[in-house]
Amino acid sequence: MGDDEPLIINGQPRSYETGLGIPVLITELLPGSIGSGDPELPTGIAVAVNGIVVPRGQWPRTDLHAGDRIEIVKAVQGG
Amino acid sequence: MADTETTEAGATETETGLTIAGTELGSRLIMGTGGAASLLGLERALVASGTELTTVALRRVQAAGSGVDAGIWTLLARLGIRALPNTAGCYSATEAVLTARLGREACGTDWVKLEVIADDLTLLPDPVELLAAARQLVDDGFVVLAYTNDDPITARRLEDAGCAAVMPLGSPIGSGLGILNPHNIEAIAAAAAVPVILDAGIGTASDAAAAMELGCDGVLVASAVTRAADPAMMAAAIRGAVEAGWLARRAGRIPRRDRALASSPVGGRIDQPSRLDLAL
Repeated sequence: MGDDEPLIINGQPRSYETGLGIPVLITELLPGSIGSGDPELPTGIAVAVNGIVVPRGQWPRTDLHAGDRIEIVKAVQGG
Repeated sequence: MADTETTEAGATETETGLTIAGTELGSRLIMGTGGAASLLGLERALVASGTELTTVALRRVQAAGSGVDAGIWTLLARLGIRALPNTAGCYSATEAVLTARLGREACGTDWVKLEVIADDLTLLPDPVELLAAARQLVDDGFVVLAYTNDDPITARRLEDAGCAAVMPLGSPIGSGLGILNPHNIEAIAAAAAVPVILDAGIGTASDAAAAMELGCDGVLVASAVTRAADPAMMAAAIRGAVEAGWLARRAGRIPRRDRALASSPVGGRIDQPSRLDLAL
């Protein structure tokens, strides 16, 4: 797949840029959610890339590639 | 489970607590959070319920700039209530397994309320996909609380697959129809060696008491509280009902009889020759 193929984030296309990482995407969708609070405590947010969950500690060093399918979810009322 | 059973984890039931996978919860009432009109109303209801375990769903973060929803996650953390991520809205084992893994990461727990529904119309569990997902998640180290139909055989299969609790429905989600097949619920509770938690269909307090009297170890309630005219008052009512039903079950109800049985002494009565004798 070429670098012009978009990322698919929560089902929506987003243009891929070299060096783009998960923290940037999280900050775009959920401003202020990174860096606040105890880094050891869960935040109610989770990320999967191509169907594999990426633990928060690995977000900064996870490389994204053109065409990746990314799910960014959070805990909401339900059940 | 039967009253004197010991769980697989080796923990013996206590007077009041509900033990799931070796973890004791002080309340037998598990709350759902869906359907609440306001976060403040939900908070009051959760406090009034006395619950120590409350479900959350996982959903895609939508539009950019929608901001941090400091809602349910922050609320549960502040109240010190353990979050139970669910897989609501999943139609296949594949979706449910990924959602469970996202829930584990998001909520920092390996507990999951596993739901795999068949369609939007009935919201009934799909037993084939449910069992497949349960097996995968148990293999993956999850503590699986499986939402299931009121079918004793499916419940047995789920227990055999290693589920930590089975959660049969009383009636369809959100219907408030109560327990439509009490015989099946009683049979599931009598046979299971893991906790049985009545989930879905509770309409009001008496339904929750009935579930406990049938032998369930706990009750999960969402809509009955969140959509009640006064959610906090209904939460308090159902809390009392769960405790009352639990006590009544342990107290041992009298057998049902076809005919009356006098509770006052039958000897020593004054003569009442004119009374009707219907010779029943």
